[in-house]
Amino acid sequence: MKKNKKIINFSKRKFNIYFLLSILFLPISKNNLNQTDNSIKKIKYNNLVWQLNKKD
Amino acid sequence: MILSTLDQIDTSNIPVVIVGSGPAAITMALELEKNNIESLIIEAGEEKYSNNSQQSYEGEIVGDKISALTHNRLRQFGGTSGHWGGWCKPLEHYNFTNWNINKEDLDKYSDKACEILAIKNQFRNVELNKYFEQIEFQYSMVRFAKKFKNKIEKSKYIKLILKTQVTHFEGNDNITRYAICYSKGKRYKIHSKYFILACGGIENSRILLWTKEKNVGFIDINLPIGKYWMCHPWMLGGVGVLKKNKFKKILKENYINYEGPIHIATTSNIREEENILGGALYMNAIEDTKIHKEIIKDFLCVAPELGKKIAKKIFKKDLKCGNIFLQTEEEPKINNQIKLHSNLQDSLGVPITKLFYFQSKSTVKNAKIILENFGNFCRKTDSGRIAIKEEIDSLKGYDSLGVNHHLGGTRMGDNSKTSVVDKNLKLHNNKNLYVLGSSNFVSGGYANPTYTIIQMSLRLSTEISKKLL
Repeated sequence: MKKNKKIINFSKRKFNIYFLLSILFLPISKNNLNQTDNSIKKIKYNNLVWQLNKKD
Repeated sequence: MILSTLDQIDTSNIPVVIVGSGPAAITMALELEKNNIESLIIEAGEEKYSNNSQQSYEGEIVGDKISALTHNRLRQFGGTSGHWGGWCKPLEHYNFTNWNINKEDLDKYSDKACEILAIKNQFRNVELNKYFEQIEFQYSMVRFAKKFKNKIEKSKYIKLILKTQVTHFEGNDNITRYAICYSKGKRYKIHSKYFILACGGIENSRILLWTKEKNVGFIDINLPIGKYWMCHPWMLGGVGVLKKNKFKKILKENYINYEGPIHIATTSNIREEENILGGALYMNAIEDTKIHKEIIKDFLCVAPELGKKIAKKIFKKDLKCGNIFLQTEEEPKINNQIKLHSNLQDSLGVPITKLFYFQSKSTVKNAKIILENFGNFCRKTDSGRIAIKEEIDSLKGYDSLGVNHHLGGTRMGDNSKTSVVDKNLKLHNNKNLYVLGSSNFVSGGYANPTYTIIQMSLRLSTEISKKLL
């Protein structure tokens, strides 16, 4: 029984660490995503429609 | 031998009569000569075209605007090769989907075709991504009349008569007996075993339609002569700023190192996945500094930061900056067709051409999808940026830059209700009349047609030689 309890406790700790780390790094990973964002931005100008990246 | 009059020879012993003297006709006669087979080439024009001779090509165009029929073909010895651009490339495998022959049937003749056109037998396609490939054209400088005049003059087997117009054919029991022609004001009936009609993508249909009218019952009335006419829509798709070094990095050792132009074509994947016909994008070899300035000015307005970086590179060889031209495949439509004019005739009384041509809505849709996907490729790989013409982007239409290739009208096929000639280019339900040229195309692909026409001529000459030897 003792052994089992230990395992349960360890797994909870592991989960907590993972949870905390995810929250900590969430804003950073979001920034990284923004930096590599190449989704399209279309701009009409002089009878032409430019196909640009959002960051352009 | 170049004849001054048809009375000079006994034409009844010549086994092959070829109508027209363009690349298809000359290639055919030269190949027959190799097998010691005599042929008579009948050309309506003179050695050089004139305003008068070009007038015979006048026709009425009904529907959307395309280049005048007198502008993009030459009625002269050597035909339209007298002013062609020389762009050569075979059709792709997937272009033969609806043909009754396949690419291998024509590629057997590639070496010979390249020899005639004096080009390298090298047409590489290297994949840029799933949807696009860099492609390689070869550029022929051959003017057929200039290159082969001496050979024809000295030939024992080839007879050439100029200023002689074939108006129609006569025959019965499914056998073509005579080509009816006019030379120096005199009417001739030329008898032969085999007749090859090789007058180009308009005249082939016109002469067959007139034959059908003159000999009721001789030609199968159900044949769709003149129908499924096509061209290669040629348009300004937009502008672009491309970094050649990025393309080189993507393709590594496979990069096709053209000096100036960039040629990109669609792969079969984009055709299948987006349900479109193919096309090829082209940027000129010669850089135009005026266009450079305009594009960079616009680019600075729409993307100032990136524009500044690009502007610094403008005079570097790495940067390709200019118009993006697009040549697309066109869907064959039964109502785009050549008919005989009901009121107007040429000087010999043959009705002039009345061409019904309507741009297909699918062409502008294809153009938009091709350009958008190419734009995506450029953005995602940072190999450049492009801008699409607003009327194409909004699917309103496109401005045709001209129609230089006449395709279809006597298309190949097995079914005589939907095609005019069989896989050996013989008119359906006729024993000895063959039609040769771009009029036989079932689909046009994006490549210029002359190379394929030469391959077809070589294939037909093999067929005719087999019959005569």
